[in-house]
Amino acid sequence: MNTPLFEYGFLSHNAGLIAALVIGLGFGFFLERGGLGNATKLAGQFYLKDLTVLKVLFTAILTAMLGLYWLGRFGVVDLTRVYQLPTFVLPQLAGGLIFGVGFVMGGLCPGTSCVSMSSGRMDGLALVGGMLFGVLVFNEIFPVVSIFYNSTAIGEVTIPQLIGVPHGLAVFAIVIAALGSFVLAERLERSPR
Amino acid sequence: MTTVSRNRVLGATAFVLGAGAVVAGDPRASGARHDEFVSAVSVAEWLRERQPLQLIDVRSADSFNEFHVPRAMHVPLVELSGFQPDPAATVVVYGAESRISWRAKRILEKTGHRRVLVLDGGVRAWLFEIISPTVSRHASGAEREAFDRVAELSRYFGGVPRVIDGSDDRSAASTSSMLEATRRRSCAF
Repeated sequence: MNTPLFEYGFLSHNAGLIAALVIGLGFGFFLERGGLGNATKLAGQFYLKDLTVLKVLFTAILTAMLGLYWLGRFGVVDLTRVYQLPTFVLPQLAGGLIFGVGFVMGGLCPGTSCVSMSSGRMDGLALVGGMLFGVLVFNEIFPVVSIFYNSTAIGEVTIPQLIGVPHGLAVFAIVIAALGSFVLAERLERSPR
Repeated sequence: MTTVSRNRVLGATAFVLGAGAVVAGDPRASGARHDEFVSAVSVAEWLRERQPLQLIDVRSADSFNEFHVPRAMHVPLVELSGFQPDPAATVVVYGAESRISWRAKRILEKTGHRRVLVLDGGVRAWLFEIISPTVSRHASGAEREAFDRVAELSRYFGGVPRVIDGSDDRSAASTSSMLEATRRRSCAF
């Protein structure tokens, strides 16, 4: 089988956009159904009261990682053709910090703010407005920050490449980390305050 | 099935799939179709060695006239089903990028032609890897050695190899500026 479908020409540019829209709608729908459109619920993770976000996101990582690993292993997906975001250490650390501060302050991240807005919440609307304003500001100041933006590039690296362990071992280690965090999260949520 | 037991089943499944991964090896090797792609560097070497090669450019006529890989012939995607490739030559198709070339490959193979190779990365790969290859000033010895081989090929085809600072600044080098520079130097073909 020839997958990724887009990379092997089975999906045209327009069909790719439609597929992205359908997947995006599905993603948003299930985030909302999982309660992740609610800022109070999301902010709960920072106070260790409600760790739904951690559990949902780690579940998504596990599902995607194990799915891609085994589909690649059985020759269904050509993993060498799956797009990997290049790593720029310092700019991405700075971006992560800004993202984290915004998440704590607003109680929502970019994806969940769209979900929150779609379900009629005003805080979601305010955060989407702020996000678009941030995009505009970033574009305007891009010439000033472009050197930093392109700095400390280490290319398209994966965790196994970075730490020099076999692919399968890294997969197993992440599974153990995720399962351990699920158990810990459940205990923390049940512990008396 | 209760929520707790369902979660346990899912957790156990993840554990088994993860543990299996330890012994299953590298997943990239199984799905990869390396034998159906050819790199721009290999195509450049074949061209320089005058090997029997039929290069088919499936982009628009304007794009082809603006720039094409030396010795390439223009056959638009819509006319490909009626095209008869040279049976004695290695056939390599390319478009603006790999996925367009893949569609072309499938069309050619449907017409009964034997194996067709895809230029990995399309014409952009030719521009970036042959016409304007770059290496970081901080590259390792082995990387510099590999780059020197590509640089020699690049000069043969009228390209300009460059040593750059730090990260790859390809995003800054537009395709049009590369094409303009190539035209000014005039190609060997």
